[in-house]
Amino acid sequence: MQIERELLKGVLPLAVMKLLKRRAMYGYELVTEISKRSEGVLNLGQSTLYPLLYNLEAQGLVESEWQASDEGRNRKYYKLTEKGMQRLERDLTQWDALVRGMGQLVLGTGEAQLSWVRS
Amino acid sequence: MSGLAPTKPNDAFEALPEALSELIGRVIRGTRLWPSEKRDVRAELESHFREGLIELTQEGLTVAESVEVLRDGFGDPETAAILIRRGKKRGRSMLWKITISAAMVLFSVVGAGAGYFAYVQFGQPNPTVDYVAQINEPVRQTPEADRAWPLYHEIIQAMDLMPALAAARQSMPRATDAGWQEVLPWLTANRRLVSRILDAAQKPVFGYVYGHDSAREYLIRRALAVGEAGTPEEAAARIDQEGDPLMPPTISLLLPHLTDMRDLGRLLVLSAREHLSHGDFEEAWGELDACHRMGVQLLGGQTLVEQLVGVSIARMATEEMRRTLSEQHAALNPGQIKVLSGSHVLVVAPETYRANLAGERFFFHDCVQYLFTDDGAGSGRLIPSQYDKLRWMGQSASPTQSDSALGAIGKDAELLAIATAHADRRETLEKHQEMWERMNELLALPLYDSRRAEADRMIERETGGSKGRRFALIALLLPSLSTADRTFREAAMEHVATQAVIAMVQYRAAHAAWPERLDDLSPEYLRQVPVDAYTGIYLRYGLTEAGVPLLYSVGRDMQDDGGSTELVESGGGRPQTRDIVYWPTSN
Repeated sequence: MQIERELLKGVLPLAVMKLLKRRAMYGYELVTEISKRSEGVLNLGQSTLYPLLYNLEAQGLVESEWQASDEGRNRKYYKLTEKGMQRLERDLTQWDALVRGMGQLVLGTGEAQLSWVRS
Repeated sequence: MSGLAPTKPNDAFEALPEALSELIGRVIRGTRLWPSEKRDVRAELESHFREGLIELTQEGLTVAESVEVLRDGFGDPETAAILIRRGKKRGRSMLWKITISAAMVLFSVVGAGAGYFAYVQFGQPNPTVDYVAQINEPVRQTPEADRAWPLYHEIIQAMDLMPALAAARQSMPRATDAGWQEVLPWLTANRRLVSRILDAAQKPVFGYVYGHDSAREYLIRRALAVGEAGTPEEAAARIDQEGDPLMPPTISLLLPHLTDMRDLGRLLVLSAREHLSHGDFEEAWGELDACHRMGVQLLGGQTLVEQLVGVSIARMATEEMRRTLSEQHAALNPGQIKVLSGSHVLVVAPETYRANLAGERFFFHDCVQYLFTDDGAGSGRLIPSQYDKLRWMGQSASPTQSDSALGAIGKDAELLAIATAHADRRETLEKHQEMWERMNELLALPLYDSRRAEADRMIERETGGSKGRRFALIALLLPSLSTADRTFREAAMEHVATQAVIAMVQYRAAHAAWPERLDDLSPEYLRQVPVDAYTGIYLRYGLTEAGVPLLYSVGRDMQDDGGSTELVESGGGRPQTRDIVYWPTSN
């Protein structure tokens, strides 16, 4: 399902930071991982990802470094900073409340599907 | 984390397919980032597509299919470039952002300032009215035969400008003074011209035609006389070189003839003194009468400065007349008394001593048309360079001279500030008109009316302080009309006082006694009893205990000091006598 761009705007940084909380990742990996883990719902346009990463980096929420992979290819890896960790926690709390509220409103239940976000 | 993008990938798809390279190129070009930032983004995008190609081909797609998937999945390259640029710029250091912001502000300010300066500096006037022609119009309508100037012109050309003239200008000695010998050579050398001056003085109109050509020959002659030029051609070259087509022509109306006309007046007075020293009263009186006529001729001029010189020459004559009568009255025979009856001064009305300000208005309007641009609808802006020329008029340094580059910048900045703050053409003309009318209303009041002081206060109020730049041109050009008006009124008073003195002498000759009161003179010897401009009532008159008449005005302090001639300070001007005494005259 294709999600409206405006709806995605606030979600994508959260998704990216959530993935980077686990480990450092490079751009293409982030694109495919978000698509896979969101089961294609958050199909991140590649032209959207890099500006998003640069913005997060400008805010000091992520930092990047070129590294050689095990296969010998050079990749630019992004990882969450301490500031990014704090922001992620805050945003997740807000997101949780938002989803619960929307779930209550739309589904009549506060138990929304937050499996991948919470995992 | 930090690090630089690797410059040389070392794995598969080292060289990306052309379609992807072209896509990356479009994005990179669109970002307009710094070269180092572009290199980093390019490396990251190349890495991105390389990873994609490897993964997709490993999943079984062909390279071409993989390229298509990646290209379609990337999105619009132009939008990507814009978003990448924004993201990267946000990541730049705060110091850089502050520096760039400051530089942009500075650049904008400097650019705007430079643009505005060029806008105002290089404006050009568009003069459309020939005000010189308008000033000359009354003279043009006068028949040549009625004009005195052509005769004066020839006389002046024939006049000997010897060094003794300088002494004559300074001292104007009498025949019994020690300095008489100093001026005698100049008087002797030019005595032959006196009869010609008497003829010229009979003409009803002065008739000088204003214009560069009129002034040019004088300047050439003067340059030769004082040794500034060796030949007429050299003098002419100097004068022509100084001509500026963008100067208001009314400003270029140099009036060098006025100095020469004063000298003709001096020549007449000195000649009269010489005749008196030989007992020739009729000749002397005729020369003083001619001097007075000459002054009145100039009073009919179209410029204020010319009229003021006319006042000066006329007063030179009337003062000398009173002095002559003061010394000679007891010895005058009936024939000489009769000569007095034909005096020109008796037939000239005091109203003749009234400023004609038409030329001053033309002058202001001419300056405006040369100092402002013209939008064709009556408005325009002040041109700083033109204003600069005008304010330097008559000063030794040229408008382009400056002590240093800093000084030049300071001057330009000052001019720009004036031009920026100055009212536009329409508002300047309206303000000038308003002030002009108000000033004329105030100056129509008698000298003793305290409301006249408002005229000077108005100029200060409207063109001083915070308004100094808004109406700088008016402040620069509006003549001190109140001072000029007072000069004219005092001259008119002196004129009627001289008429009264002549009447007194005639009365004494007829009655063997001075009149007891001024009223005794009218109407037989005097049409009207003279009024003191400083009181509005008759001039003070009386006989001293010795039986000597005393005729005076209370003067500028408007207090009757009994005919005191003690000198007192007069508001920054030359010291004035407490009262203005017309009879007896001081030696």
